[in-house]
Amino acid sequence: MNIVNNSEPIILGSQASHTRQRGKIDKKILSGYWLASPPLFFLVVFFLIPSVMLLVASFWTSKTFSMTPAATLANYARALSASGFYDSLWIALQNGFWTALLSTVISAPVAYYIVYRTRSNAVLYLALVSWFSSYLVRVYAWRSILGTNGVINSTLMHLGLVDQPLEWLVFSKFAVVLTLVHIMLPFTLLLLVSGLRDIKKDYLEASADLGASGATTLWRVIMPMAHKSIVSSFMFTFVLAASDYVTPQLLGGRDAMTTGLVIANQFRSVGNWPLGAAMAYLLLCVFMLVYALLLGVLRAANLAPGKRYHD
Amino acid sequence: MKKATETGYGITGIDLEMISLKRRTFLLGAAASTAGLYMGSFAPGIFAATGGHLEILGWEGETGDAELAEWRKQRGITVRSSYASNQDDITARLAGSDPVQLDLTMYALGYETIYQEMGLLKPIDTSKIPNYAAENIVPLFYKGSRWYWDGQQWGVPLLWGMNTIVYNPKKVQKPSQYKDLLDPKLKGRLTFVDDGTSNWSLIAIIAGYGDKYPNLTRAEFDDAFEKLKPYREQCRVFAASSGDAVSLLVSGEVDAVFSASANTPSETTKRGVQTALSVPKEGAALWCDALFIPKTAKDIPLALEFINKTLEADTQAKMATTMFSGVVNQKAVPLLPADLRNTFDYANLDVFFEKSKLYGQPPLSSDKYVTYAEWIDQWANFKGSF
Repeated sequence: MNIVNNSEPIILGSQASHTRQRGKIDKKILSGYWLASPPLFFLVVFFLIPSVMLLVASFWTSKTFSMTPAATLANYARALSASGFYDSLWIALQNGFWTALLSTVISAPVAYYIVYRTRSNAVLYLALVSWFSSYLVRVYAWRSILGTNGVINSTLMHLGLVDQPLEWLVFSKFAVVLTLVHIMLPFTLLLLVSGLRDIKKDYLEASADLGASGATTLWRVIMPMAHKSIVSSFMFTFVLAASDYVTPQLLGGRDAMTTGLVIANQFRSVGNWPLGAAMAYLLLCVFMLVYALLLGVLRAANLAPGKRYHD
Repeated sequence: MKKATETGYGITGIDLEMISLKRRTFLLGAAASTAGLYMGSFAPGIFAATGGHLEILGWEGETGDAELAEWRKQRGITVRSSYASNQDDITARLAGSDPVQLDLTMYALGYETIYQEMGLLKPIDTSKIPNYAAENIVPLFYKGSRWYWDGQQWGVPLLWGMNTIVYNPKKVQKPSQYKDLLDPKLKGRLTFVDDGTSNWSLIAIIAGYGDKYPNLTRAEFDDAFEKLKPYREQCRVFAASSGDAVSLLVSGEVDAVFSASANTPSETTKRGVQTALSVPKEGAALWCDALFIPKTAKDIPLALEFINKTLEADTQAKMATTMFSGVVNQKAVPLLPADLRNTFDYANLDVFFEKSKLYGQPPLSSDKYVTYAEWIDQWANFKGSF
């Protein structure tokens, strides 16, 4: 009778190999932590801890630029009971949605061209060139282009296409979204290029060999595999555009009050940091809701399989 | 004798092999140097001057950077000026448990009550400011209630000016009262500068509560903003700043500004567009910036000396010319350019101040009157039409 001694560990081949390489793997893991530690440290110190402090402060009370520790929901209740908060939020969400959608959609074919159709990075650099000018310069440049006496209106009138300058070109939602798309486009392009570079051309060729059309390859291969960069592009741009209040103020006309400005007022003018913090966290909740909604839509369309395809 | 080349130490006798940088050492050194340079940029400057050092926070153009350069040089003094974009910048830096160290800063009209309540002000010894004397200073600015109370001086008026209607005379007729801005021809051609506090007194005046401002009851306050709504209908955009209002006038996007700084016409003229000021019959919104010594001041004697220098006639004239503003030292008036002198009508200042008053700010907290925070909120609501 054979007796199996269960107390002895049975070392399988791969496990044995793993054990033999443990020292090496540990070193690899350690070096990974070491490489990741500076940004992690930065994020913890300058983002996570301040965010927690802001969250705590949102439950405090305030008087004359000084805060008193408390545990009250009054700031949240006050923000949620103000109609102005909802109105400004609606304007901000519209700015964010249209900017994110247009930036992502416009960037997609350009990213495809950069990754699969050309070896040159010229187009990418061209898109990034706009980063070399300041944010405000770009906003004022658009005001000059879209203005009553701007390039577009002057040209249209010179050509006899319009009798009067098109007033809606500037100080309108159109002007805000156009400018924000111009500002955000390099972000979405970079994220999409980065996502597409992970999808090897072999997959696309295999799809074609199996008889899939270009549209099917896009829908069934590229989009599911690149969904994380698509979601990143959209959300990154959405959050930045919806939070922005400089462009809406300079180009949005008299009805361009966004939540960002309402929050900034609480921090800078009123000195009511707890109320500002509560509003900021409400805005964060809305952003997370939009993120969940976007993922839900993509999953419903089988475009977000929740798998990792790359190493 | 061994040749130097044989020793490998060269003629200096230093082993170059020993001091050659390894890649890791070089990277570490570079990282340390970068970190050092970066952190060093936050460290306070090392001031070689022996005459002292002042930390000043104020409005750009009012900190004497150019006007007092010679004095600083003669006295061996260094001054670090930083600029506030609005009064809230100053409040935020001085408020709280860890305020910023400043030797001198400024408050706009009406903030004296807020800063008094916050305990930010130190009394000023006027015996150390000989230029602040009754024979020099325009009577309204000498020991006025905005700067002097409880038998002590808390602020020293530096410059003053007005915010009023600015219009393009080629496009619209001169408005003689605020109601003229409701002319249908001005629909979509008007702008407000998004600086609530400078508009608030005018909002009260237009609604007929000029005598009561800044203490308005809730009903009066609601009524005032209700009466302002037609002006909003005329508005095309809220200018982000005075500079933005200049830009809008120059680009032809608007033809009039509800209330803009008196230097606006000179700024638009520089850019090729003629505009003009109009002080309507209801009056203009006056401003006056006062220097004060905050609780965090270190070198108070030097701060007082600085205040005294800013009140000298020559310094006042130079600063006022730069800022296109009024002077508080009467002896500076003859030194001003003619257009600036005429704008503020120094010959009839009493009449001018009868029409346009020095208003304060709404109370920080009150059960009876609408507070400062409520004005801020309402101004935001007015802008957003909420």
